[in-house]
This record gives sequence, C-alpha cells and structure tokens, in this order.
Amino acid sequence: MQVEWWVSVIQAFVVINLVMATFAYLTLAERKVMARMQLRYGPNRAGPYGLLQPIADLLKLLHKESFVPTAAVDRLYLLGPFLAAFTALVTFSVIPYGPGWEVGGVYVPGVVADLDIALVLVFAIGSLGAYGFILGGWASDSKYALLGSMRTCAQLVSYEISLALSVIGVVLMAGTLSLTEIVAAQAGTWWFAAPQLVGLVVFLIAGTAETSRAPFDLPEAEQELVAGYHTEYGGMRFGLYSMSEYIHLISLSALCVTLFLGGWHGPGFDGPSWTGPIWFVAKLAVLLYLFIWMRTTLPRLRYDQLMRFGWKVLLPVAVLNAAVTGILVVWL
Amino acid sequence: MAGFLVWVIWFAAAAACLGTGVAVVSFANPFYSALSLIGNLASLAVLYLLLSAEFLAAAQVLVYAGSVMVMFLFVLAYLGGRADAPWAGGPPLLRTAAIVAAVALLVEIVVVLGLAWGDNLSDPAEVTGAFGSPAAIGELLVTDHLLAFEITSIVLLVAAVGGVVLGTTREKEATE
Amino acid sequence: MSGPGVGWYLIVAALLFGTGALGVMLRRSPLIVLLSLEIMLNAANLTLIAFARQHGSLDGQVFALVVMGVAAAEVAIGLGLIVAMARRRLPLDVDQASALRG
Repeated sequence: MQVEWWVSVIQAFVVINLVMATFAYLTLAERKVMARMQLRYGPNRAGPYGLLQPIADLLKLLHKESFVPTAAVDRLYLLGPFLAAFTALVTFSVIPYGPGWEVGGVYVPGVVADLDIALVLVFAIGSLGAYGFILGGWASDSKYALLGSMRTCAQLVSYEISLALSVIGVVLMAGTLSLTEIVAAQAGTWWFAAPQLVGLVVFLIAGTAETSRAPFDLPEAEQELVAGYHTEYGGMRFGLYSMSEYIHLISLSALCVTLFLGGWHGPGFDGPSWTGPIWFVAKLAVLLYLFIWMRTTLPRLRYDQLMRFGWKVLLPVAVLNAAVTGILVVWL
Repeated sequence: MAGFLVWVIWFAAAAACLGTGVAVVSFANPFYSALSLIGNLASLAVLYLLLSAEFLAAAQVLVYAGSVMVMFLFVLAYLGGRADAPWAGGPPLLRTAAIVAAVALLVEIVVVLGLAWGDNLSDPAEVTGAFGSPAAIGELLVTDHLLAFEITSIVLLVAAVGGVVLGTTREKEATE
Repeated sequence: MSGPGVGWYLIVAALLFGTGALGVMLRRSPLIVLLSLEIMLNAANLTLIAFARQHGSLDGQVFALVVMGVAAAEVAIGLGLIVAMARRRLPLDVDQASALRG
C-alpha cells in the first residue's frame, strides 16, 4: 500500500524517541536487575524505586566538561560517537512491530520502511558501526584508545560473519530478505526458533560479542585497557558512545525477535491488531533480561579466547547450520 | 516534484563521489585518503540506488565500505599514517606523461559517449519493481552465471589462504 | 526514468576512472595506489550497473557483484603484501620497490 511520506516521518520520530526512552530505562533496569541478582538494591534514591535515575545520569553527563584533547584530530574525534549512535538507530527503521493500521483514513504501516533488502541493510549499516569505534580510537591520538579500538574492531568484524551466517537458515526457510515477510512467514505456525535453534544460539552468542556485552566485553574492561576506545571521551560524548552501545543491544534483540521469535505475532494466535506491538515489546523485554542475566553471571573472556572461539567454534557451527538448512529446505 | 528530487539527490551524490575521489588521490596522509574512499563508496551506493540496483547498493555498503575499508584502516593504523608528498611520483617527464595519458583517456571516453548519447542512450528500458531485487539476482547467479559464482568463491578462498600465508612469519626469520 | 539519463552516470564513472588512473600513476605510497585502484574498480562497477539499467538486463549487475568480490580478494592480498613489506623494513614506495625479490 502506498504510504504518505509525512506518516513515515512522524513514525520515524516516534520510533526514535521510544527507542531513546527504552535505552534510558534499560540502563536503570540493568542496574536494578544486576543488583538484585547480587543480593543488593539497585539505585533507589532518585525518585520512587530509582525511576528518576536515568534523568539524573543524563543531567550529570550534560553538565560535565566537553573537552577535546590537544593532540586529537578535531573533526574525526567529534564524528566518532555520532557515527556509532547513527548506525545503531538506523536499524529500527526496518524492524516491523505490528500489522498495518487504518487510523482516521490514513494507512499507518507496522514498520517505518518496508524494504525488499531489509536484512542486508541491517547488516550493512551494522558493519558501518565499526567506524564509530575506529574513528574514536584513532582520532583520540592516545595509545590506550588506539589499542582498545583495534581490539574492539577485530572482535566486531570476526563475530559479524557468524552473525550474518546464522540468519541464513531463517532466510532460506522464509525465502525472502524482507523482514516483514519473514515475520509473516512465522504467523500461526512454529516460530523460526524451533527449527533454527542452532541458528538462534549462534545469533545470540555472536550478538553478545557484536555489542561488546559480557562475557565478551573486553573493550570496556577497565582493568585491561583503561577504557578502550572511549578513554579520551568525557561528558555527553561519552554518553553518546554509551547510548550507541545500548541501542545496538536493543536493536539486536529486536532483530532476534523479528527473525527467530515471531516478531509481533502472539504464540500461535493473533489478537486484535493493537496487541502486535505489545507482544513485540514483551519478547524484547525477555531477551534484554537474558542479556542482563548473562552479564551478571558469566566471567569475562580473555581476548585470545574470544577470537579463538569466534573463528574456530562459532563460524564452523554457523556454516554447518546454513549448509544443513539449505539441504533440508531443498529436499523437504 | 519526484523528478526534481531525483535530480537533486543525483547531483549531491555525484558531487560527493567526484569530490571524495579527488580527495583520495590528493591527501598526503593515507588515513584521510581511506576515509575519503569510504565517503566515495557510500555516495556510489546512493547512485546505485538511483539506478534500481538496491541489492548491489546494500552489498556495496556491506562488502566494500563495511569490510574492505575496515581492513584498510586496520593496516593503516598498524603502519602509522606515514605521509608522503602527494604529487611527487617519479621524474617530471613521467608525471607529465601520466597526466597526458589520463586526459587522453578521458577525452576518448567523452567522445565515445557523445557519439552514443544521441542514438543509443536515450531510452532506458522499462523495468519492473523486481529489477535489482535479491531474488532476481540470485536466480541469475545460480542459472546463467553459475560458473562465475563458483569461480568467485574459489578466488575468495585462494585470497583467504594467501592472506594467512602472507601473514604468518616463519620462525627462522628475525623480523623485529 | 525520471531524473538523469544513463549518459550522466557514464560521465561520472569516466571522471572517476580518470581520477583513479591519475592516482595509480602519480602516487608513491602503495596504500594510496591500492585505494586509487579501488576507485577505478568502482567506476567500472558504476558503468556496468548503468548499462544494466539501460538495457533492462540484470547481467550487468551480476557482473558488478562478481567484480566486488574479486576486488575484495585483491585488496586482502595487496594489504598482506604491504604489511609483509613493512615487516621487512622495506621502504613503502612503489618507485623503489619495483623489483620483487625475496
């Protein structure tokens, strides 16, 4: 159906703001959940149950001095965080969160941009995200930052391959690269998590490494590299990097929900059309909880263990999954 | 309105493309050259989109801008951006010869284009929405162009093996 | 097709190719030569895709895809060579490294 351009603009605006709000409260949720798992309360001073904590953090970051180190390359130094945040946010333009709706005679689609090549676009823009880190590290002109950013990018590039390969099984089964059609292929039947369980596990592990979450969060390990690529960043610019990491995590979880967990469909049945986004958010919340749980529980991997695992274990498993799925799809 | 918008986007993308292209060959510091090339690849992706090649645009960003240039930047960060004087290649005679050759090439191409423009390049074929879609390209890759597909995979395998071979240092060689 | 005709894209591709050729011939650092080579390959890709659009045939796009793959392989090997050169403390200068030995 033809979508008015101003509907898309309003939708994009709403989605971006919702994602930012989710990011803010994800930081709070993470701290509270981690705290409870460690038998303590999380932040509970700022507002009831700590609900105003993200706002307090934001105000703190805004008030900090925005400096540029003398030796840094100005324009690139400033471009790094923006690139990271931009590439993290763009993924949400193709994630379907509901069937379309007719609102006052205007058709509002369930996705901001319905593309034939949505999945390739997600990976393409995701691979551009590596530049945010390279630029941040290199433009800071500091050894820790450069080393940290090189390590981060090597990790990202290695696990990107397994990430892309793990979704090939889903693409083969759905027969399309369009995310709306992949969600439609899971309507009323088993979600792709069931036949593609190996793919789901590989996707989650590779996704944890892609977003530098524990146990793959060596780039953030203060004990190792001071603070990696964002050593020389302070105040709101550091806030932008932090935001881009969390939004990357949210977008990866949203992608996982879309590809493997049935998108906005309910389990086996579909309620009225406005329940679509509710199911989507519920599944997203479960996945985010899983990521927070992993962070609290698992110890960090050393860099060489990380790289060895990515290339020698995860990549062959992903390739095997793709090959076996291909054979079965053709023969069955 | 739509035609005008397409022209505006085309101008912006083409200007960015040519500008970054000149920037790549002009910068002294190779790091900036590499960054300009990334801009060049992105603007080329926009041009591909205007030519109804959406899968190729995405593949361009994914493969070229996302992976090949990351490789480049890795090597550049490793080697340090040693700047060399930009237009200092070779003795002056060689330099003028190079410029003359490039200009001659350009003039030749423009002449050919001018001759062809009137007759053959005026009506592009009518294409459906499925032109340039991954399904259509995939179908061609496994039917008409299967040999090219398979040979490309072997080329990539050879390149991967070659990369590993070039990268391993033999124990006897003292390199540091 | 609304907007510029195919000829305009061909001119952009020609200019890009010329720029890349100048870069290959005039720059000394092998890294920049490799970058200029990439520009030439991309100009060829643009020409292929423009003609694919002109004739309504996807063969040009498939050709461009294969060129992309081969270019990626070539960059990998080229960079490997440059890193090997740097490791052996050879000067990174294409004019001086004109004889491949050892």
